[in-house]
Amino acid sequence: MILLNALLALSLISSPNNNVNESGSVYNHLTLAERTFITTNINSIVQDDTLLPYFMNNPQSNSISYDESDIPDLLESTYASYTWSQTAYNTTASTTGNIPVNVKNPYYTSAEIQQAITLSNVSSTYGGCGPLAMTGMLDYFARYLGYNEIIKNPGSSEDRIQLLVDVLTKVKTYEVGFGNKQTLTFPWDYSTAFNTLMDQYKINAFLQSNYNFQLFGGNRDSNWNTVKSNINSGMPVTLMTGLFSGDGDFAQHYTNILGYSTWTGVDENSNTISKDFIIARLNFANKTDIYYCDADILGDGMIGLITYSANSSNTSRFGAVDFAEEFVNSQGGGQYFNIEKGAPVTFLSNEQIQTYRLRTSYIENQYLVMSPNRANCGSAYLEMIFNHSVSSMTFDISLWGPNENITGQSLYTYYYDGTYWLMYESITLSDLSTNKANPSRKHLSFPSDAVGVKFYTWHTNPSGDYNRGRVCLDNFIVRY
Amino acid sequence: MMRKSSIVLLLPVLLCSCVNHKTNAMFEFDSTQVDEETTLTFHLVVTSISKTDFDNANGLNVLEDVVEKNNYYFITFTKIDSGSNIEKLDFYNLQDMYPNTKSQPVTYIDDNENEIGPDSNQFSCTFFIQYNGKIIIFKEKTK
Repeated sequence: MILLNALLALSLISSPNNNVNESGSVYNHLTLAERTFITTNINSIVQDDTLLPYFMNNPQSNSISYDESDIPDLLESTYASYTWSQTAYNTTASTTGNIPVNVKNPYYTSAEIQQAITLSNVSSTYGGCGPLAMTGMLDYFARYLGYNEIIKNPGSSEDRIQLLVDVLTKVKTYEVGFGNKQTLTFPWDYSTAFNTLMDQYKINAFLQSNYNFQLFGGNRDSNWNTVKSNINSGMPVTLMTGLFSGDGDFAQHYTNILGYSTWTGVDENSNTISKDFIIARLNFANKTDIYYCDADILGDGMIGLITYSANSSNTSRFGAVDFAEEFVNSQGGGQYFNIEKGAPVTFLSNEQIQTYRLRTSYIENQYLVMSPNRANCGSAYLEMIFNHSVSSMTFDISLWGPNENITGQSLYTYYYDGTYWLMYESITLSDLSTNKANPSRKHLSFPSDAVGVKFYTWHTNPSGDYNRGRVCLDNFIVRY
Repeated sequence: MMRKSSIVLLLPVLLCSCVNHKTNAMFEFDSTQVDEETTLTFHLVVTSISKTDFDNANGLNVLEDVVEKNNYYFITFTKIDSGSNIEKLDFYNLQDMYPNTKSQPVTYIDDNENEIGPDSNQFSCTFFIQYNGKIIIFKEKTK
C-alpha cells in the first residue's frame, strides 16, 4: 500500500520550487550529493532484511508526536502512582532573552506568505513547513541577535515578505499530490539553502547551519544532548520528523525547538522515573503558543536535526553603560559639554575605542544621550573609532520622550575610512520610538574600509534653556 | 534489484514532510478570556446548528466544519470593556485558509482576514482567534 501511494505521489510530484524546470521522477531532480546519499544508504538498507517489514508495519498511529502541553495531566493520567515535578527547564530566552516567533501568526501571516509565493513564482500551496521553519529561525537571528543583514526591520510587513521570498527561492522544496498538496524538503537541502542565504547576506563568517539526518533512528540520547547543549547556548534547533513519527502535531513536520523540560516522578517507595520533553514552535496558524512533545521522538527513524552556529569572535557588543566612566563630568554626573571632548573608552569586554563627542553624555547612570537643541548650541555628535573594520552596526535608538522639539532637527550617520568622515545614511527622527524603554532597532552595513562610526545630529533653530532634541543610543553590536 | 529500486523511489516520499495535520474538528465551546494588556474581556460561544440555519445565515458568523463534513457551527464572539459595554465581533464567510492541503491544521479565515481555529486533545479544548490583528486564545480544561 505504501508502495502504491509512493508511486502515485511520484507521478504527481512537481519540480522543486526553485524554478528548476525539469520533468521526471524525484530522483531525476536530486543533486549528485543527494543521489550519493541515497545510494550509500540503500546499500545498507538492502542488507537489512528487517527494514522493509519495518517500513510496512511500523504504525503511523502512535502518540510520540502529540502536542503534550498539558504535561501534569498527561503524567498523572499515565503514571498515576507517581508524584511529578519539573526538575529541569530551559529555553533560549535564558541566554538571549528571547525565543523564535511563531510563523503564520502573528508574524509572516498567511497573506504575507501568499504574496511571497506569488512574487517568488514557486509552486507552493502554503509555503511548506521547511521553508517556514527556516523563516522563523532567520527572523530569530535578525530580530533578537542583531543579524539585520537578514531582514532589516522584522516589524515591517514589506521586509518580512522579502525574507519569505529569499527563503522560498532558495530552499529546494517539492510539492506532492493532487488536490491534497504535500511538501517535501530534504534536511540537507534546508541546510545548504540556509548557508547559501548566509553567503547572500554576507554573514557566512558569522552564521552557519549543519544537518544530521538519521534514517534508522536509535539516537535519542545523543539528539537530546544536542538539543540541550544548543538551547543552553541560546541556539534553537530545527527538527524534521519523517514517516515514523506518528500522527500528532509534530509528525512529518519541521519545527523549531526552543527549549526543553524534564519531569521527575516519585512513587510511594521512593522509586523515580523521568520524562523529557522538547518545547517548540509548530508554525501553524492556529497554534501560536509554545508546544511540548515527548523527547523520545528524537529517537525515531527519519529524523533530521538542523543546528546553527554563530561565530561571535568578530563581534563587538557594548552598550550605554560602557560609557559610564568617561562620558561624565569630574563629579561623575552627566553633562552636555559645549566643546569637543576626546577620550579612549574601554568597554567591559576590555575592547578599547577612541571617541570624540560634543553635547553627548552618560545621563542618569543609565542613558547614552546626544542633545543638540539648546540656545546657543545646535549640534551634538558621537564619534567612535575602532581598532578593526566595521562591516555593520546594529543598535537601539530612541528619543528621550515625546516632547523633544525635533522640528528642524536632523540626524545623520557617518563612517570613518581612516582619513575622512563620510556621510552615510540619515535617520528620520520622527520615525523613532519616543519611549526610551522600548527603543527602535536600527542596522547599518558599511563599506569594507569603514573603521569608525559617527552619529551627528543638529537643529536649525536651537532655543530654550533646557536640553532638548535628546537622542538615546544603546545595545550596539558591531561586526567586523 | 527490484527492492533496491523500490526503496530509491520510496525514500523521497517517505521523507515527505507535512502530511495530514488537518484533523482538528470543530466542537461546541463556551469560554471567557480577559486580556491582561487591555483589561478587555472576550467571550466566545460556539454552538452546533442545522444545515438550514447555516444556509439562512448567509455566511454571517457561521462555518461548515471541513474536518467532519456536514457539521455546521454558529459563532458568537463579543468584546466587553471595563464599562461593561458589549461589542459583537462578526465573521463574514469563514473558509478554510488552505483548502488545497491537509498538511496544515484547519484555520478558518473570513473576508476581513480574521481567523478562528479549533484545537483539542484529551485534556483541553482550545480556540485560537485572530481578530483585527489581535490574538486571543481561549482554553478550557476537559478533565
